[in-house]
Amino acid sequence: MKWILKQTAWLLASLAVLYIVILGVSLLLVPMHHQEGGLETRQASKTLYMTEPKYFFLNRASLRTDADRLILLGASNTLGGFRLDELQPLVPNLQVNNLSISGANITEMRQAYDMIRAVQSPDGKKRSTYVIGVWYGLFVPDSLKWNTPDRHAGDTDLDIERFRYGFYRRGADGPVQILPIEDLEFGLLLIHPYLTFDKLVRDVTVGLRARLLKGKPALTDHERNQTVIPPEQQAKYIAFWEAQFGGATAVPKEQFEVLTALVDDILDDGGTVVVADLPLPTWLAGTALNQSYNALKTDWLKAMASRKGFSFVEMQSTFGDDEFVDEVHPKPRITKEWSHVLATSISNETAKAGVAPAVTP
Amino acid sequence: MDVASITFVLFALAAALIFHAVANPLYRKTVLTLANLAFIASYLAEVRQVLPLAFFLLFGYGMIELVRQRRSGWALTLGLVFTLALYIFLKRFSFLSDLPTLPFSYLIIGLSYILFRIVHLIVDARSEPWDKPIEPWSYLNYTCNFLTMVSGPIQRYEDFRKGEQSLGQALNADTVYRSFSRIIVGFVKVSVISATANYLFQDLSAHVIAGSDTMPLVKFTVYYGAAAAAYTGYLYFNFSGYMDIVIAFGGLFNQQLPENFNKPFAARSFLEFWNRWHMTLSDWFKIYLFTPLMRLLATNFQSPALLPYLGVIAFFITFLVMGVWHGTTLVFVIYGLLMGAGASVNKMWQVKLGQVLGKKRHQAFNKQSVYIYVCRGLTFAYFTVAVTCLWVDMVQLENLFARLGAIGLAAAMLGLTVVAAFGAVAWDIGAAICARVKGVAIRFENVVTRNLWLASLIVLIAAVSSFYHKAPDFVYRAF
Repeated sequence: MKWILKQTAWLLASLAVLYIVILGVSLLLVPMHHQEGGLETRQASKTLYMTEPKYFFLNRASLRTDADRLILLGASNTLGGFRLDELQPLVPNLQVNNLSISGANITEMRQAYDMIRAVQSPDGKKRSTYVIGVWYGLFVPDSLKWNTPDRHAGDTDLDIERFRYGFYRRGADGPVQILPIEDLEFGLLLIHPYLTFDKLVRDVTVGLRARLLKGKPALTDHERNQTVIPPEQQAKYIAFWEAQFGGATAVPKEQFEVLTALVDDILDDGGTVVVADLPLPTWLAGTALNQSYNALKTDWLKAMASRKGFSFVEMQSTFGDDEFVDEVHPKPRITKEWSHVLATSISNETAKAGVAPAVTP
Repeated sequence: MDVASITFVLFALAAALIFHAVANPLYRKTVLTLANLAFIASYLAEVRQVLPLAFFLLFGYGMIELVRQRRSGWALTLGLVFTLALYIFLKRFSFLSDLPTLPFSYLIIGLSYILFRIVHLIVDARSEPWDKPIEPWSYLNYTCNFLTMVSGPIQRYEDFRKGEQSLGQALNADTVYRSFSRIIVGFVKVSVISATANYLFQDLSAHVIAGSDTMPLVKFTVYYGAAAAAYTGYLYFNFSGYMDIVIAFGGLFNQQLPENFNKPFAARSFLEFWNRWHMTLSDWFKIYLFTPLMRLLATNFQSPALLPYLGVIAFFITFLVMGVWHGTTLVFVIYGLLMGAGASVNKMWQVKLGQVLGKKRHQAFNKQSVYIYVCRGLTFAYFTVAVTCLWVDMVQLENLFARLGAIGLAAAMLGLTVVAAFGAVAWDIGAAICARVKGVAIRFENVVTRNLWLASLIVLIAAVSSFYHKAPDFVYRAF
């Protein structure tokens, strides 16, 4: 027994010394960054976190301070449509945080909300206005959405981040928190070398991966503005989303139920909610999936109408087909208008509630 | 409890500490039993799930006793047939899906390896001069050893008994360090190398399985070859890493577990490959299938000229059964046929080449470097193509072969052979360089440097593990 204990002690001591050295080098290379102002997951690739879910999961501690906040949750079209630098000047009394995650469904947005509320004080929750950007693509059931070979069945992208560094472990009833939320910053310090190493490896291999994966280079804003979507490409987008729903032609109710619970929890916490039905081109809006989504949405809105603090912005047919880069993402030239529609609606709601208008005309 | 997990490491380390707290052999045997039971319990949601396994163990013990007491051919046959029948019933083979099953889910993990041990005991009970029954306590610890239960190595009972007799021995610093070192190296193989190979495999195989009609045949063949090679790498590093972990932990429990791998890709033939890959399984099949089969064939066909060809038949049957053992669906029969074909063609080649060249020239030919590397490449390529059956189902296999066609398949084999042959050359050069570096590094080896080295490997494991969304499963658990 003596030798096992002695060897364990030697190994742990060596690990501690080595880790302190690595941590020191890592902090020298990339000093810890303290987030000022609102968060925007779109900036993830420029940070040590690199991906939107990781940026969200590890960076959310900055939401701990009490402030009047506008928090946007959604998928990539909410992220690309409401740019922080465009929306923030329109709502100067609120700190805008766009925490949307590309490829999310409503379940993942629900998880995002739970992670945000975990760091917020009761007052912080009351001072938060949530914008939930939706369209039918966000209503893919969990069993279809989170079932790929590279993940444990059912794990969302946020779940993957929970488990990645051991901040959570798998329990019989779902993720079990290991690192107390108050120690999130300390956890960040501990994993700093891994974040640095991860970024280093990704930066070094970016060319190789691009060549292997044959990824197309990102379009510039100018190129996006010039995009024309031919009918055959439109058909591919429609087929893609049909495949996402497993070939079904109707949107199941499952994710609407998750959305109801999400809205109710935000309202119960004292916050306010704006659900924005995001713009779609007519060729996508006319699909059977969107028709069934619209029918469910109508029923859902009737049920939600009596909720105090809840409002709805209809943007689905606000913009013409020429204003889309693909099936859902707006051209850069139009994003200011997306923000303006949203900000106006928020202003109207706050005016109704007797609060000073947040919008700068 | 997954063996390649932190939970298992903590469990086994705690068990080892409790084991060594007292030197009394009876105490230590009790600790081993409790560790085995705790390990089994970790797989259970309710107690009744373990009942079929418990019955299988009791039944096996009864059969061993029957054979030991009677020592007759009929008792042996009865013991083997009933034990195999019970195993097949419990294992729920898909081709026997019409048979009634137990009305609840139950534990089948480790059942195959328990079967190997029981069959070994049944057969040896007839031939060995055992005058006393096997001690039930030792039988339980032998069949349900938490280190070897899930996927081996398949230890022989007499070796296990020798280990039991040295249970009271004390450890020393060197043994403990070597065990720790091998456990960590095992984790590097599983969590770093096999995880990376699995990542590549998942990415590449998705294109192959999808069939991708628009992809040109050349590109599709390259994708298939790369996916298959990545799977072979994943399989090897995953399984051999697992073996490193359990064999090293064995050292902490005074158990000398048998080695299961010996540089399989250095093999110059398919038959040699199986003397280096999953060696304890190959030995088991050699002793309990190949040898009796050869004896049976030689008794019935007594011409010396026929003897080499009987070997070809015996190899075919042995490898067919060994392949089929890997799974319960039709695709594993194809795998078994490919294994059998590989072994018998290899044996035939050896026989014919020996006849054509004569003994001396044959030996000289076998020593030529180019021939050696081509054979190594071909061995890797054949094994890699054959184990495709382990990552596709029957429909996917049919689609794959239809898409590749004879030309695509031949091209894939050729490409894999060439790449593996050059890879073997590069590997040998790299190994020689590493040996030199190790020779220099050993001068600086002391307790600090070697622990810092282990610590750096742990940091590497943690770093690479954080890259992947999902730790690779222990691949052989499925077999």
